[in-house]
Amino acid sequence: MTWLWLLAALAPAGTAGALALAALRPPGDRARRRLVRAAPVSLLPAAALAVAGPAAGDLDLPWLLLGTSATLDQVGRPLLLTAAVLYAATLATAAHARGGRAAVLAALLLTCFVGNATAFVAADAATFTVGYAVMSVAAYGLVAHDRTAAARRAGRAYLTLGVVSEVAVLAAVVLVVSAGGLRLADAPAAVAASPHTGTIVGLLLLGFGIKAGLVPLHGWLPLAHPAAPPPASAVLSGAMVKAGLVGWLRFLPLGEVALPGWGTALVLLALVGAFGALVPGVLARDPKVALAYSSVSQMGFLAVLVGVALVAPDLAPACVLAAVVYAVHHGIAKGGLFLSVAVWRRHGAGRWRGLVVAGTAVLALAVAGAPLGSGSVAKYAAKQAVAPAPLLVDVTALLPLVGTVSTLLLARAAVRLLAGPEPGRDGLDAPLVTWAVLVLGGTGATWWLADRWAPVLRVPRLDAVTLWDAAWPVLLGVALACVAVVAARTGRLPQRVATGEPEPLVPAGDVLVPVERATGALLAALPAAGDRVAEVRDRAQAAVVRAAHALGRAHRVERAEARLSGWVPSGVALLAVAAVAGIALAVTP
Amino acid sequence: MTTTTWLPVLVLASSLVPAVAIFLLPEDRHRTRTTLNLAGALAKVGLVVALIPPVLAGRRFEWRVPFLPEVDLVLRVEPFGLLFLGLSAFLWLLTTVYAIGYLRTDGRHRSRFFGFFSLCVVASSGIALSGNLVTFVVFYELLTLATYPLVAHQQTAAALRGARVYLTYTLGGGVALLLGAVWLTALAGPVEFARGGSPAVAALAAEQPGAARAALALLLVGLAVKAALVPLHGWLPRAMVAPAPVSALLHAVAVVKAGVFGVVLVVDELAGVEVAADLGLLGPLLVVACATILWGSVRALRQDGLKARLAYSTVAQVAYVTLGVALLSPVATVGGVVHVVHQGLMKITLFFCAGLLAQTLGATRVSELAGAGRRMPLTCAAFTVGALGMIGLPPVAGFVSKWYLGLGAVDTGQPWVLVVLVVSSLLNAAYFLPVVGRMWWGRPGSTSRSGTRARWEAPPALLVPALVTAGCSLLAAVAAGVPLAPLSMAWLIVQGG
Repeated sequence: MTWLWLLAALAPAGTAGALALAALRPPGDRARRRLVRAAPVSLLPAAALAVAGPAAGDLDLPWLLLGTSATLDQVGRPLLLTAAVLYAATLATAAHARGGRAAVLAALLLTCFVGNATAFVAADAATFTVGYAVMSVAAYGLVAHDRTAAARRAGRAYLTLGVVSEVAVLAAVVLVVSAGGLRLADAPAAVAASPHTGTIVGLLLLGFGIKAGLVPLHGWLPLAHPAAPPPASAVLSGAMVKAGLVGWLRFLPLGEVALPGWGTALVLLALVGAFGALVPGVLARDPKVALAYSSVSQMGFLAVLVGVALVAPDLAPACVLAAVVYAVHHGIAKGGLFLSVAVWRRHGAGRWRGLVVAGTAVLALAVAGAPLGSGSVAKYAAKQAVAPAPLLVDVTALLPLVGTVSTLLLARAAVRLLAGPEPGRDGLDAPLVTWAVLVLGGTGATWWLADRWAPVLRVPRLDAVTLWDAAWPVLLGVALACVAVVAARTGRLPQRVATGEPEPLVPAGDVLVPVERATGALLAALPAAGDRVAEVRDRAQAAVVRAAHALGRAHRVERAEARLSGWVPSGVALLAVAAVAGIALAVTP
Repeated sequence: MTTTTWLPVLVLASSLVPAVAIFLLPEDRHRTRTTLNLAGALAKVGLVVALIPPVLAGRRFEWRVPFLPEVDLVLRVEPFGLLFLGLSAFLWLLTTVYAIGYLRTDGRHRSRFFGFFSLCVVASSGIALSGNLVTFVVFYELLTLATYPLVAHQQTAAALRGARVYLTYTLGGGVALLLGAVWLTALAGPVEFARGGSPAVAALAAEQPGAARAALALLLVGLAVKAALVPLHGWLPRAMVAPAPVSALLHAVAVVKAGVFGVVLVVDELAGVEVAADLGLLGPLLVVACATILWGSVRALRQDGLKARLAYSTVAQVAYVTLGVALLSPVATVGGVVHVVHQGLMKITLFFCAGLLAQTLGATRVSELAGAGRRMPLTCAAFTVGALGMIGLPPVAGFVSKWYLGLGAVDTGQPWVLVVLVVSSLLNAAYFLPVVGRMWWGRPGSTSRSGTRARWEAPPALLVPALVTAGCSLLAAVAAGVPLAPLSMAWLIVQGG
């Protein structure tokens, strides 16, 4: 069913183009507003494609780009569905965003979707690269969309890291393809057999690690999320960071060869992220910064799975599936939480306050991994997958505590959100409805998905032991949060810690902040050095000209002749090159 | 199958006739001049299109006439030449439209301008069609002479100075090329270009490797001037004083491209890749190409003038073609050959946009471009496409070139070239993305011209060519696998067909 594939890609792409053109029309244009409201519909074919699954067949268009192919496998299919649902909800919210430029925002979101979904379902390295790049570039537009100073700074950080990521990925992919891994199905084996395995794995960890928020490359996340409009944050955290994960799952030699060095390094970095995010996160002032750090922590959890799969090839299939289930759960729940921020600000004081609070609580509990929620399924799957891993640290003992970290970060986000400006009192509207659907569907979907699409994993049975296993980390977190709130109320916490005002103790972006400063200085210095070299060259050239003039005077050549000496610089350069080339050639046998 | 025919001469005549006629026209005959220009450009595109099917089917058209004792002037239609010819015919048409719009406001010496403009196209067509070294040299020198008045067109002190630098460099290069050609002809007889290299040169390389190496090196050094390889690139940024359409043509198809086209011819069709490698010419060429890529990008970082930044970017980008031939790999050669077209499309887009921004907003500096995207969204969109392509991001044409160059580098066991490509991409991003970012997200400052109108989009004659080339830059990547797409043509050229 190639037509369905084409429709799934062309509907959002065409709508994005139409929106971009519509953005040229004056604001308040009715056609433009209608188009913006209708934008979520363009994602229906993609959703239908994901539901159809393997029945839709594979896509193979050799004439498109460097040969385009896509397939709906156990990684791509659930993630495509997640992306379609999340982006549709996001577009519905974006259409009702206050202020102008909703058309531009929607066009950017749709472009991101096309790239993001392409990266999820690509069946060959070139298609993946194209999708990944389209997504990364369009996402810059999302991050910088608000044009504030903070947005500009976040955009700069995102773009710098994004370009590094892009280039590292491209280099890695070129190496993978030359090793015979053009088809993604062959890529892991090709990487394992390549003479450059170490380089490739290093580049992949760097390139996709930036996107996936792997510590210490995560700095852009806490800058970008608060600066971007809430719908943009939702897809950034919900879907785009998952593209980094998919990149790892597709290209790393998982299940082919054991790389204990790289794997252990990844697990350690991932654990540092999963737990380290707590410090800047709970000190944050902006609720979206706390949510961003929660994403860093959760992506750390996911990276642990990838690291374990790198260490132990026999665990790879289970780890990959667990990672996908976790990514689906986190994509919907965290994306939904970011949308909750927008929904709260519009409806938090109105008739639907109760619904908003309840829905947000459900999402938060799901992210934290409370029993019966999607997070508990995902975490259970993950724990099962990594349990037999031969690692230095006992990962299974540590992983539940990530739930505590999440609980604390989400509690912080809630506290800061409540302390924020008075929310609005809007009535029932499309964003609220889509959000509510997302809450219900998203938390339920993971159960169903894990059961239907990932047969290797077992859905937790509802006995007392599993319930308690899932419950205690969250309860611990809630208890700690209560203690902190009471301490803050009674004035036992310093103001800066309690509220993050005026500036949080650890600035958003943590390690990135000094790096930002150093890079700025370096970038200023590098071209200056280039200028200096050019100056020296110019001076040398001028000296040659002067010498030639002097020569001309010495021989009292006439004026016409003297003018000719202006020709000398080029001739000298030419002769010098010819001489150097001659010498070089004479020396070589 | 080679057919002797007048077709190649007709291709030249399609721009030579308008050139002569325009020179004879009085200044104020705008309409006649425009008609002549467009008629010539359209005729050329038509001829090229008509030539494509038979050439793809394996037919070759040739025309020769005795020129010097024992040396013929040979014009021949070959796939690679046709690719270059097609590019120049297509872009000449667009640039003519653009130039007519551009010079509408500043209308001095238009007959001279368009006359030399057409002559310049005659020269590049001749280069594309040349079947032997001597023919190539003749048209190569003609190109130098035809472009000088274009660079000096504005006749300001800066323009004259820039044009003189341009002339001294290119004439110097021409002398080296001529010496090399004479030497090679004296040793090996009149050498014709042939697939896989001329047998006469191969024989010479076997007998007298030293002389063959020196003569070929001299040719390459001569070509390196127009190809703007470091350290012979000094003229290019100075030639920026030319009007925008001239810069566009210079950077995309005419001068710089003629240089790299010559480098490809000398390595692939005169010496042959194996012979060139045996003579030890490819190693130094590779190093020079890499150095040029990096140096051009580093210099571009520091330029505030938009055209100056684009000029240094050309220095770096055109060296990709040299890199492609210097790597001993068919895949890399595909990347190099296809970049001849891709770079042309992307760079002409950028220069068109630079001209548009300068004419409409009065912004010639990067620092003055803040907020330009709100005033001229279509122009800035076209610029963005070109800039993303230069960085090598999909789905723009530059990605395809870089992909093949990278694969070729790894194939030949020289992964360090991949590092050069990576660093170059980072540098490209570092000097292009701030421009793009400032356009779309910057706050319009006091430096750019302000007014009551919200939109400043230029008239269609200027805007449409930029949009067309931007669209083609996208299309060249999106439909890369379609027959007749630049990439498919490049494969055909490299694999023979």
